[in-house]
Amino acid sequence: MRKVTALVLFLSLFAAAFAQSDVKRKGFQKEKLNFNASYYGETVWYPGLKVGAEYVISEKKKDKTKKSRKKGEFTKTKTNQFIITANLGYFWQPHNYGSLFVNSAILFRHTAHKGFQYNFGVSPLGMNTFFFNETYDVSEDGTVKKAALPARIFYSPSIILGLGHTMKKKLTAWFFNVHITSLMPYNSSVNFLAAMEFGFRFNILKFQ
Amino acid sequence: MKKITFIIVSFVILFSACEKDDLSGTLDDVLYVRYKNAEMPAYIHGNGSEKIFLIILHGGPGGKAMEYRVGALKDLEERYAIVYFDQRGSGMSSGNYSKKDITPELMAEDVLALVKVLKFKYGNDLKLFLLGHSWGGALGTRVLLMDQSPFKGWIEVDGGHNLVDMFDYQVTRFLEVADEQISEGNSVDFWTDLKSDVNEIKEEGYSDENGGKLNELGHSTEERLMDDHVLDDKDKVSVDFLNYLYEESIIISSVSSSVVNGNLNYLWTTLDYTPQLNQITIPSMIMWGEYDLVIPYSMGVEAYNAIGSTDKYWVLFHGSAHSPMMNEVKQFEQEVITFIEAHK
Repeated sequence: MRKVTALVLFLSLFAAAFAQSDVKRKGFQKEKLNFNASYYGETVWYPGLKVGAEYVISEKKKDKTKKSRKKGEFTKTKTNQFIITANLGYFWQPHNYGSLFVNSAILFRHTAHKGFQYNFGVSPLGMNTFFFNETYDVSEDGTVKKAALPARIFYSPSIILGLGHTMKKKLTAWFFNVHITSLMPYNSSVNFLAAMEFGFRFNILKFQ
Repeated sequence: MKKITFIIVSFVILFSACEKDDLSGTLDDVLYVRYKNAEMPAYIHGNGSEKIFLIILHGGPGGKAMEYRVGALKDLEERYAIVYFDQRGSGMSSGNYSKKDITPELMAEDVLALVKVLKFKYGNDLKLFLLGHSWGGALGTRVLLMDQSPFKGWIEVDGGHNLVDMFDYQVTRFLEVADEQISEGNSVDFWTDLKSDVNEIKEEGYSDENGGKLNELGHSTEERLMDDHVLDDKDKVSVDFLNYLYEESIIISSVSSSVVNGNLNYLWTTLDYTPQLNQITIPSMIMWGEYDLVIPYSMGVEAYNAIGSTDKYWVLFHGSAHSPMMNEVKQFEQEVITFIEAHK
């Protein structure tokens, strides 16, 4: 467990350090800021919603000139980006609890020439709060009282894998991500959530 | 002024009347018991009109309460309120505590905390019965040794009040059933191979690994006994997996269950409540599947003989293995109804 935590922290720090230089050099650029909104289904069918913001902190484009009989000479562009994200979401497990979560992740995203994208990343900073259904506190002397706002907070780092495709109108892309989130501490150990997310990204500039 | 007083008095009467939940309709409640750093859900379904609540203690350790909402127990919801309770560390229970905090004693306290919550919510005049299956039989026994006063009756189904001797009981019963099936000409090769495997395990003696192997064999041989029509399959039901998937998060409950099961492995060399069973004096019904190779019925006979109650009943299901409530649904249901009606 310690090794995994150390690896997650190392990757995040490495990516953040790598990216910092680019942000410092060029300053904040609105076109690199995207927002997203998605359906966030924990175990697929426990429904939820997630909104987030992401900022490209480092970007490298590779152009390759190719020749074909139909198109003649043309350029293929591949883009690699490091992105930081901040997210807020809520999902609902109807029999047991609602869960509010916030997290911040660092992602690597590759965009192919025709717009296909894949990304992977880690979220070392995350917090998940379960708000339980009707709960009763029983004290050691046997007194019972109804709990006012029963909740439990978990530290919840996660890993993210996903794919998507760029779009040409106001929405900049659609995406599908899988999140594996750990809940710590959970009982005497850890536990996990697996969520699937489908949503759209948009850039605020396109709406102005 | 009189009008205002009348309105205030009316409100006070109205709210005090609503203090306890209305039990006239069908109950479909989920409530959490928060006790000693754990939140444990109880799923309450069924008919609460007579205020008879049957608390189900699942198996495992590390089973899942809602897997039991099928077969006889689900049918019993028509007459009684059935309380499916996820034990500490199991199912959808959550919390923050150390491994050493998971003990049968604390888990028994949890059940008594659940009793307090049920009475707080539904009224002190509840008629409570306790049913423990498999590991739940061991836990239920511990609960009763701690405090049996809240319960009108105890139903043990293929339970494990004596885990220390379980290995020997299992080996003996495996060999008996193997000989019986070979002599009847049922799956002779299968039982001959199994007999040699069990003899090998017997030679090696108890270890966590061998205990696990026998447990697995006990479950897997049920299918063979079913195929050979030794077990009663006329009203056999299985876990309603789709319903279960919807009601409990499969990942959370599965991870929790495997963790708590590992934490309690030590009980197989320490837990034996047999010498204290004479302290249980409430009406008790011990129910067992004749072909249970996970916890053989000789364990049930031991419990029946040792329990101190003068009102005690022994029911052996001839066409069942470890879970008679899923094999002989109708008979199981009828036995439970007869017991509860006699002692409510």
